[in-house]
Amino acid sequence: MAIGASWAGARAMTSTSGPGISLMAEFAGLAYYAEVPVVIFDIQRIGPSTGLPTRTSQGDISFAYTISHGDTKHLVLLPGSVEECYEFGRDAFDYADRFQTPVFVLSDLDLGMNLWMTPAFKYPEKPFDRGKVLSKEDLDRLSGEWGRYQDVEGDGITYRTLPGTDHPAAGYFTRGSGHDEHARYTESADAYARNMDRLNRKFETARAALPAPVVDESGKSSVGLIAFGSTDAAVREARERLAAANQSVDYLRIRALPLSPDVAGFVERHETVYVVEQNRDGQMFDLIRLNLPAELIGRLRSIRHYNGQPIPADAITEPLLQSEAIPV
Amino acid sequence: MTEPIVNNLTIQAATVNGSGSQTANLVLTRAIFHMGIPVAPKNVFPSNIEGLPTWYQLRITPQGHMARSDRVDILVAFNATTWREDMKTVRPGGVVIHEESYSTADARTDVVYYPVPFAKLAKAKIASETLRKQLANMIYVGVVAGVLGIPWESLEHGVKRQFLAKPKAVQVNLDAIKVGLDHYQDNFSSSRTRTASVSTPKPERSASQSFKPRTS
Repeated sequence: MAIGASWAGARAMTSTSGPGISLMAEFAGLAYYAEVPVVIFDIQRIGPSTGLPTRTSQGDISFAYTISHGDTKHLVLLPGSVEECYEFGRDAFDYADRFQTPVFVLSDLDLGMNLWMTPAFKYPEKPFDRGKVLSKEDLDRLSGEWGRYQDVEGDGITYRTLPGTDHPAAGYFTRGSGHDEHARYTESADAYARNMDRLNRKFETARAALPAPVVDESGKSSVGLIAFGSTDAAVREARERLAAANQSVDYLRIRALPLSPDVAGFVERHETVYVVEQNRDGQMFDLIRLNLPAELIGRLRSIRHYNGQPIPADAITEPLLQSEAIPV
Repeated sequence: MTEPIVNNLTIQAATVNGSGSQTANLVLTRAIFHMGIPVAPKNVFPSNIEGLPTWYQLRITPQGHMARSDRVDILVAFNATTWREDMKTVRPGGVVIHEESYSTADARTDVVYYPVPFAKLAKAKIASETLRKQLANMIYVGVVAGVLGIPWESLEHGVKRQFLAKPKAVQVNLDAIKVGLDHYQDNFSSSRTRTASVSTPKPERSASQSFKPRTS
């Protein structure tokens, strides 16, 4: 329904937790390949399967990032506070429209179901960004010559029309099967590869446009922390405690996937970087490793917390101090 | 506790799901926040199955830390099924407010106990049988208020804010809190040294300046 509403020109979203995302796999692929904007909120809880439905987790990262079969990858926003949940809730629609693709907003049960102190939310002042949408006037100017999947500007983002646009050339066929630049069905190897490469180009355009990581760096510490989402609260406290013990640690908070190049830069400037997350497998740790130059991979360490309780600061300071062989 | 702690403590209420404890915990949260003290609550509950245990943690720190803490300073033990396990979470020197009928004969000796006859007080002081179960939770809010020194004005604010849509419920909940507060004053205030408290921060304490007491 959400994808259909978005296709029809409305701004549409749906919200769920991990099991709901599992059920959406097929349609997430359709929206990615047919390039239909949609916003999906995932309030992560602990899995797999039904898991512990009332306990928190950050275990849907790698799944949401690539959900669906084939070469699929999605834009993911990672709010670290209720303020950012509000902000990203608004911006997710702009990103979905601008990049004509599903946008997953990954909150978690701790952020989504607990009370948090927060500054007052700021009501948006900027207008909606509906992206590349051709109006009747645009089509008149183009004499009706356009292709739904033609990359005119070289950024991978194509133009679309909305149902009801009063022009004979406005219509096109939306399909999840192979298509060419004019939305015509094809199994042409070249057309398929061109389309997939363009989708990749669009993804790279989005990489630069999504919320940049928040970096707090003294320039003096050789140790860094990387975290995201609700783990931020524990990292802040852990850093305060470490600073009180004269162990200054720098911090980068990831706010979106695909990863910003700033992440590799941060790793490069530190001898050791701990990736802190609330899942068993170190999903963000693995994603970062995949995106790093080979010579930097060895600098990463993983701190994982996955008992369903929100991560406390101790779960960061203790393994870090132990690993750095600092007496407690 | 060896040293009194002020505005830097973790309270954990271990209760029974579906008993009205969430409302009591929210009143406590709002009352402390009303004092201008940063407070971060975390609710850990089972899958909405009535009768199972639930835990509500209130983190109170001058810095406004919002992460969960494993170190419990004050336990409100209000669940007979889990209370032995819940006791293990309390730090040495911590405070345990518990239903008087729970036996402490073989329990820890390194914590301070506040035995309260919650069930008897509810039966004696709360006329409505149908509300008794829910309001018993409000009695522990009163006891915690006594232990920590939460002013009545803030408790009133917490209740009014919580029952904005049900103004008729305000007085009956305040009455239940008063039962707990009176019990604390009659039985503990003169015999126990206050080892943990909350206090409205002074303006010069910059870490808390963004959390000024509310006036309404």
